Amino acid sequence: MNRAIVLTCALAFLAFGLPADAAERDQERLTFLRDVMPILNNTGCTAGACHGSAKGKNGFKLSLRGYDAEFDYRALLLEVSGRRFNRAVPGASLMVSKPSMQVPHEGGLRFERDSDAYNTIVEWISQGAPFGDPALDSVAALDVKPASVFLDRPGERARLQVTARYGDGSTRDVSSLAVVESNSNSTASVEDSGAILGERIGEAAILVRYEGKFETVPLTVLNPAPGFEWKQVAAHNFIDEHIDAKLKRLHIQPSELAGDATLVRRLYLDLTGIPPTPEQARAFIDDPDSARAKRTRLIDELVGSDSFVDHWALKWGDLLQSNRKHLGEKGMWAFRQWIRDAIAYNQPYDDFVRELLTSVGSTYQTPASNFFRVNDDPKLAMETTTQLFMGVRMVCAQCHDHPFERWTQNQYFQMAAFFAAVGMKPGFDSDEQIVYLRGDDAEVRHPTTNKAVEPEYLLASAGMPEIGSLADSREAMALWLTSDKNPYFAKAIVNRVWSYFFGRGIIEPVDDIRNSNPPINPALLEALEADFIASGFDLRHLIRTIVSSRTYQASMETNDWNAGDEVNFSHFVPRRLPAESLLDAVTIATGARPDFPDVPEDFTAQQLPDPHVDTGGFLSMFGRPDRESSCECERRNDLSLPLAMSLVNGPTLADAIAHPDGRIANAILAGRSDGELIEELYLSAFSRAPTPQELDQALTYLSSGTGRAAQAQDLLWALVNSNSFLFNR
Amino acid sequence: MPKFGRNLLACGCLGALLAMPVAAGPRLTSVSPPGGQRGSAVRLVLDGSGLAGKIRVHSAVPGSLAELTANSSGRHFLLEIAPDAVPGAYPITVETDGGRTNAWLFSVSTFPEVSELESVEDRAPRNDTRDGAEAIGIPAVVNGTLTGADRDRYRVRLAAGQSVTFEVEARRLGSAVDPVLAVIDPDGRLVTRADDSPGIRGDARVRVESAKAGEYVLEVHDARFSEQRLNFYRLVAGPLEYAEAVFPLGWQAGEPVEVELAGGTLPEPERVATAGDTVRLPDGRGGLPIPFLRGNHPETLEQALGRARRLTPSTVVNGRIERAGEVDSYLLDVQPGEQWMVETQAGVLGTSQLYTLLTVSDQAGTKLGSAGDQPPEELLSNISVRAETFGDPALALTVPDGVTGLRIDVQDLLERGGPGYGYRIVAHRQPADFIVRLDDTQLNIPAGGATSLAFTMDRRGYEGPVRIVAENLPPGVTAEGGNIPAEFGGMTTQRQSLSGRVMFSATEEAVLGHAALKLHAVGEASDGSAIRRPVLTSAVVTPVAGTGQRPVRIPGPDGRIDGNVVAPPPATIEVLSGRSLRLIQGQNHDIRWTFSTHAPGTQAVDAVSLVNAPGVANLRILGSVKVKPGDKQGLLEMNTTMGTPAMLFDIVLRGRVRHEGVTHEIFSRAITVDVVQGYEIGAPNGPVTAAPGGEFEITGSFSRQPDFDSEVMLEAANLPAGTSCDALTVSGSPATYSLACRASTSVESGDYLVEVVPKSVLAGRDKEAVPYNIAPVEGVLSVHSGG
Repeated sequence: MNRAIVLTCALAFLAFGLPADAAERDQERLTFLRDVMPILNNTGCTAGACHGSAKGKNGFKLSLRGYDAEFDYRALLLEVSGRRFNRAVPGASLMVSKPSMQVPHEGGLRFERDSDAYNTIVEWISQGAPFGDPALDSVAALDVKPASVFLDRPGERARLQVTARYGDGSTRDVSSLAVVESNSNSTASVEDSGAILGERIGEAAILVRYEGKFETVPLTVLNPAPGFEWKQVAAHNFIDEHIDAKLKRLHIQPSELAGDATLVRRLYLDLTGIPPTPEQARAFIDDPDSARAKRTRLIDELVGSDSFVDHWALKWGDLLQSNRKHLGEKGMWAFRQWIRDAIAYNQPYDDFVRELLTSVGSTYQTPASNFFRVNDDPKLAMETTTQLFMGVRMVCAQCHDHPFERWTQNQYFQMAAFFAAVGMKPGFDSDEQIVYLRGDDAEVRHPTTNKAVEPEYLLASAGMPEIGSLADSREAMALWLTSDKNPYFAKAIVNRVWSYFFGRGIIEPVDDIRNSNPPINPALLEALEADFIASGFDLRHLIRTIVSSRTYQASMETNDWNAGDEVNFSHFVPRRLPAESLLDAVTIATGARPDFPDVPEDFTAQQLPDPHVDTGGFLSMFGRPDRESSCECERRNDLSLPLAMSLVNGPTLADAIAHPDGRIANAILAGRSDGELIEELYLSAFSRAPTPQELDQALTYLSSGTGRAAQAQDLLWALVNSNSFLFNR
Repeated sequence: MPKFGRNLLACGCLGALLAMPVAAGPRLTSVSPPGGQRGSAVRLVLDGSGLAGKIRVHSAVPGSLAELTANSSGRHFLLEIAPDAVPGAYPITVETDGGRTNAWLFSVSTFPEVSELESVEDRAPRNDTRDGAEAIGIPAVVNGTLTGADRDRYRVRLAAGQSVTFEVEARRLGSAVDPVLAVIDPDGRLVTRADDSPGIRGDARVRVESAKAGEYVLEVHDARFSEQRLNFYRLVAGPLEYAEAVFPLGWQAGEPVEVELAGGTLPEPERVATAGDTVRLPDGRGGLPIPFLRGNHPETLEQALGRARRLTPSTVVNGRIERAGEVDSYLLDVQPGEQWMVETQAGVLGTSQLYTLLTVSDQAGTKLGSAGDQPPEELLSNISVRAETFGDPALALTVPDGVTGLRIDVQDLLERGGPGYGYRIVAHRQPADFIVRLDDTQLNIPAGGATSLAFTMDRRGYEGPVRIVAENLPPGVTAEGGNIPAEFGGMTTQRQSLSGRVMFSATEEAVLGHAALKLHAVGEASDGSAIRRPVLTSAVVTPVAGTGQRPVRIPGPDGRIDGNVVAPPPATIEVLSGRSLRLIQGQNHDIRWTFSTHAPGTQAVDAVSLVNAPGVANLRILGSVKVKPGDKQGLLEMNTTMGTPAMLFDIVLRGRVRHEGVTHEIFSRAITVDVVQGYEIGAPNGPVTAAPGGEFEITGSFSRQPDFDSEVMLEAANLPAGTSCDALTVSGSPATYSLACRASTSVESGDYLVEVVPKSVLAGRDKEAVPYNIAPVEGVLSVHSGG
């Protein structure tokens, strides 16, 4: 007799074969699904640290957070020969005696003897331990009240009322059993009592979970200071309107626009990865045209420029893991070129993704196929695809249904099956690979059933092709993925691109989009998404729209009302320069080009093809990603003490400052005056001229030392070790 | 070349250069310029090693050659190229008393030629930037070099609507540069880029029709920005015509054939005749010719097979996948039990874009096998395997019972097709095959000395031993060695036996001069018939620096190599001990050698070392190679172990000496080692019969190697209950063994599988007894009461 038959028999016996006196007892009918499973979840029995872990605990395994009630029921009922139940004396069942510590339990006390939980389980056992009817006894939906929470000030509390609605239409107040969590404990925390405490001004999402269903409730902690009066700052485009709507609601006043000198550096850094040269900065600052007009002109000039292409090719090279370690040297260069061309020609993003995901051929002749050289397994290809292009992390669902999301293990393998036919074999050239579609026997097998899994869209989408109607199921998947109906595709990229300009996404992390991780400004995200789709998935349009907004061009200087805001984009938040930009900024400031091996000597750090190329380990130290995954988290932008010490004492900066062909040497050889030299150094490091006070101090310093050049070197060293240099402000 | 030295060290290329083999004889390392315009005179500089003194240049370039007085390094010549020279690549070699150099290909063009200023003038402006692009006219050929991560840029002025071909010749001439060519318009926008253009073996070619008048920039760089020693290229710019597709891809040697050229600049396909191993556009149009394979079997065209499309064994069919998704099907008559090899050639020839997918089905449509749709068997060994896996698929199969006809389908793995998707297919009645390729391009045999040719093998299902046979040897010249042992199963699944060496030696009296040698590789099929294949040779082999890079090879005439008996070497290594060894597994052997100089001033550069021909470390053959430089004689200790497989292979001693500023590699003659099992026992003669209560004998054959003098104990095992045999100690060399046995009355009747288990010891050099046990043999014991 196999296990399925045993279970069926057991269920049948327990559901229908109960002693008449028990079945007819005039008490509430308890079921595993409705009554017991919530206890197991609420008391932590199914938690990952307890019996929900991959291997269970102490020989007893439950599904993680109770996602598979049938599995858990079977584990309780049938394992250890049913010794977890004592039907004659229900209170002596291991199922209650262990968690109540009547017998030793490594997991400690989970509930007291004679507690509600204890009594419910005992009663359920005495009723014959019925499983229940999944159609009737499972939670169909949660009703959470209120739908949104506003706290007038930090320190205020609120409570949620959670009602479970079951398949049979009945309801139950599960407020005390539901799991309530905050996505930002620094803004609002959840107390043991279930009360939500406002910690500081801001917003948070409160996640309410109960029996596999969840709801998200937005929470706002308002600024209690009196006297807030909204002062409208001119909006540049729809982005500002959505930002303002929210800020107004939160009693946050946005900052004013940043000055020209700040913005020219910001635009150059964000659009090209390289700060402006002194000449470029001076030309912009001295341009007498209106700020709005010349900023627009500069944006148009930079977007699509060669250095823009290099910078965005670097970002996509990171995400697509263009790395000679995976692709070989020629494959890596070919892939880089393909990415560069796509950006240079402004290939529509949906088309770019489709080309990537449906590629076949030589990794040299059809460089997009290098995607499958990196992602050389159907599961890996699927995980990368969903995370990179949908912002959805499927990796958990490989082993179990996703605990916080809708994704199931079946869906994981159905999506992976789209890539089952992708094969690879060596080509005729050295290190060349041919990506091709394997024959009919290519399949992905489900680990539980060991049966071949047919590909299926992650989300149903009207108008999509029948998967079986196409010889290459990847084509169907790519069409579905890049469809404007796919609620994740456009959202993921606009959110990701947004994060490049603001240091954080509207959803954060950018590659973890799920209902339980809501956007900070849903209306803004929707508007960006719609605008991006309407533009024909035009990334340059998206970038132009973002950097043209007042929100992007805002000053980092805060006011009384937005000083505490770090997440609503009410002011610019300074960001440490990424490794490559930092090195290129050093090049601009010092006039000395680093000596990169294995690339043309005029390459900037933005143009470097992969992590193989570095100069003295500088880029690696400052957080350049190794391109081992498609996660944005690979790049580090912190500024720790070792990094600071490297700048202060390391050879990269010192050698560049004192370079014989560097800026200082050339300026002095050209006969520049002290004032001219100081202005050039400020412009090259900060993209602005020195203030009169700075100029006075610098003039004094240059004339005070043993030699003008040495003093100038000291001055430049001080400038490039300052926050104004190290941060994009 | 501003960054040469630094990048050389940074990219690790120095190691690659040092690892280059030292030529046995002179070597050409540079020919400058690498080409010239027909009808022009070129100052030609040949540089290399061993080129001092009297030399003779063998140039196939139409025209004349006169030596000039050298004012810098190398040998200088004035080359006058004939005005009617056909554009193409012509080999140049240099003959000295020390032998003949490797071949170098000199390209003859129809356009005026210039040199890249940066590569010939130290103070020339750099042409790495767009602003610094060097101006060239059209038509023109630029001879340039790429130093590491160099990007050479050229400015050309084009009229609106002007059609121009830009082409880089590099790999076709033996350069290690893998060129990429980009064209940028006057507005700085990329017009087109080419890398690995169809049909030109990794070189780059584009056709540009200028949309607007102005200065266009041509950019040339290596695909990997790698540092290469042979780093030259030729940029051709002009109204060059070319074809991108050729059909058929080859034909039987010696047979003229009409070939179709298509694609490229040709509005319509053109048919041209060829009798050689290249195809070119007629009337001097076009640049370098297209390689055309010449085979050893009868050939036909796909169209000539008619509707039946039936393959004739060992006749090559030239076919083409004309359209995307097309499948060419062939029928082959077979008999059950026959062994067949179906081979294809396409992409590996460099003149077809086909990724062949080969599928074989029986007459009922049941798929029997396919090739080309999965990675080839992995070569796991990274120790010394140098063999390359050839890219076009082949399929070996044994015809199943009931099958009398096969359907063979050919298609493109990516379901593409068109004029450039030609292929060649042939079916041989044989089970398995192999390809052997020479690694060296030149053979200079010193009179009174020896030299060595290295070769590698691609096993296509054939697991047996192979021996290289040399023919047409001139008097006084001997070829030895040339063995690749059979593949053997060891502790890993690594492919082991994939390389070997043939050693050539000449007597002091051998007549100096040239001889065209023929080389064949010979194996043995499972039915005992010989498999004889010409050894593939290369006219040019250029090492390519970089991880995982294969050398650039320009094919030579299969099975032939130009051999030269040359002046005596400055030094020799002589093996004093035997050169034909028979070693029992576990035995040791001392190789005694002497080193003699024959010319004054000759110095040993390094120690004598042992070259283990199969080149596989876990053969457990250990050579004590710690011989100090300057030693005149020495002893190498070769140890086999119990794990050394029984096989036949060759080793050779190698040393390097320096004489008159030139480093010479010197070799001993071959030492052929046959590792054998110490003794063998035959399976029991049988069946052995016994009756309950009676006596019986288990007998079989016995033989031992003369050097194996240990006693061998034989014991019967797996005997049925109630029977027993006395152990037998065998000493001496009896031809048979006989175990005395008896059966009790209680033994049950029946047939039993019994074993004879041999045990022995091998006396090691240290006089400690080392167990030496070979596999037991099995036999049937029949117990019958009536017996």
